[in-house]
Amino acid sequence: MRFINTYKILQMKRMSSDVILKVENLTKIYGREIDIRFAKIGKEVLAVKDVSFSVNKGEIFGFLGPNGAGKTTTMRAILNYLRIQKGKISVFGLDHNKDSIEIRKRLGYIPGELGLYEDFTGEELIKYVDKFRPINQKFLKELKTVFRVNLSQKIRSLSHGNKQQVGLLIALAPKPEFLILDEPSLGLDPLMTANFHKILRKLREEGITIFLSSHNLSEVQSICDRVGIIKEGEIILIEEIENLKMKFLQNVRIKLPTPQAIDEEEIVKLDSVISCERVNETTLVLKVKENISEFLNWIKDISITRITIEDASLEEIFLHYYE
Amino acid sequence: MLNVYFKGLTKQWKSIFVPALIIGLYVIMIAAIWPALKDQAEAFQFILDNPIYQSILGNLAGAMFTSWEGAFYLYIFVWLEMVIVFITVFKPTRLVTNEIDKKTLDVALSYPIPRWRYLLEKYSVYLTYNLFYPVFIMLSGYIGTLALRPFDAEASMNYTLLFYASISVWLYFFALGSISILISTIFLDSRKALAVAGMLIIGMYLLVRIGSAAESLNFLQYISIFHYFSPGNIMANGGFIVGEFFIVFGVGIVCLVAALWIFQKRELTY
Repeated sequence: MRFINTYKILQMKRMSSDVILKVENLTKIYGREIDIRFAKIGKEVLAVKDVSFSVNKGEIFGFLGPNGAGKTTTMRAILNYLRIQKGKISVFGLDHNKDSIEIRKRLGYIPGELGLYEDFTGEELIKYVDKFRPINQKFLKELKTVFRVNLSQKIRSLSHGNKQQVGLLIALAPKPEFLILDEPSLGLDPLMTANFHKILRKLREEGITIFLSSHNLSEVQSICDRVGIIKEGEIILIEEIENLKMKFLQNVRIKLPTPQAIDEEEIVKLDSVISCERVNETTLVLKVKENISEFLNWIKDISITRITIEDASLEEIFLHYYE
Repeated sequence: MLNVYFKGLTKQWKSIFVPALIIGLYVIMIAAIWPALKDQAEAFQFILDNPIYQSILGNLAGAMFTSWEGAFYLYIFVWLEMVIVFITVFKPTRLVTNEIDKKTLDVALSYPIPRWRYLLEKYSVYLTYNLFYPVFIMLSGYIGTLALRPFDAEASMNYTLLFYASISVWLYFFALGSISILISTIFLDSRKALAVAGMLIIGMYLLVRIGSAAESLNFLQYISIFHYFSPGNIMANGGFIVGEFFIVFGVGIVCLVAALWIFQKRELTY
């Protein structure tokens, strides 16, 4: 009995150590409404409500949502920049408020609106960061070959994209255990974005955990293991990317041998069919979710020439949730 | 250790070092014209005895223009008070708010350093560079007096008093700077912080002038920092004024501690 208990504790410890970030019921309200006798002064704005999710060690977790959905608020709350009204945030199993210094020793961060000291050169900035978080020199060399930005130039003379590259370089070069990246590829050209994704994949292989928000859905689709979608301050979905594509939405294209009188309205009545569009007289395009067998069962009595079923893109899934 | 402090020292030297140097050069210039000015000093003193000028001079009204030492105090410290007002309104207020405007604060605070220490190190850069003011005042006072001797045998300077007066300059930078930084941590907005700090510091500067204009308004001076441990008071008193020193120093410490506490505890919404 005692052995079992010890085993359970060890297992629980292992499980908890595998979770790098745990957010439970995070609620953040901006502003304050003061109720005086006859009127209310001020205004409260609910930014995020009961947000819960966790990010596991060595995974890339994508955080999706449109502007104002609560992504940056969540990230800034994790970094202890904001005082939360409700909830609990732990990073590396440590309390985000009490142990914030310990957490920051092991964390790298890129804000959505990046600002760097304009009177520094890239090299000076690297030296400065090195004093807080020792730079991994070997990795820095590698990063310098990827981010081909002139580090001897003053930051103020760099273009927006190059500033972003310097920002990424100083966030990644210390090889922190956990990276919080808010719109990291903003301003990068496609080639640089592809290189950046390679680096993120490499870091994941080395067990580094990445929590990133992005507007670029193809970016999230190509590098993230799991994704959380936030809408109006509430998490509406957390799913592995692969499952998300298979489970949630599929594009079905049906080619009919002759123009047939298939009632499109009848198809849409099926629970699994979201939409049906007739592209031409003999071609139908449908969006089908989750239980595709219901749809296949219905279609088996219809004569068709060809049927193709494709996973919907993350963009389509995202739009489906937002429409 | 002290990374933020040393970063500031290396990067900001021009912004505060240069004005101090200019003041040093200004003294040399006054020393150069003093032999010619001395002959008309009594006429100048007559003008300065006018109540309007006396109120403009505030605590420095007691300084006599007829002596080199008095002229030195009038020329340097009257201007310097205005420089102090200008710098303490703009410089400490923008230590934090400038980082917010330039969006560098989020990254800066993501490093493992407590917020209070980050602010204290930044503020220490400001205090360190303001040490150049007393140093340059002392140096230029000494050089100016020495250079005058061949032309004016009576030219003399009480260096102990000048040292105390120089300390008062730095102390004003500290106390008023702490007020400004407290305001900036409360608002975290450059415009609001500048407006409030400006109103408060310029208001205190004017209160001493208004208070010394009429006896019935004398009480107004007591709510201004400029009334305490001023170069004029030191000169009039002829020594170090311990009580006034601690009033100004105390205000500075209280405001600084409050600013550090607020910055550490408050949420960073901007």
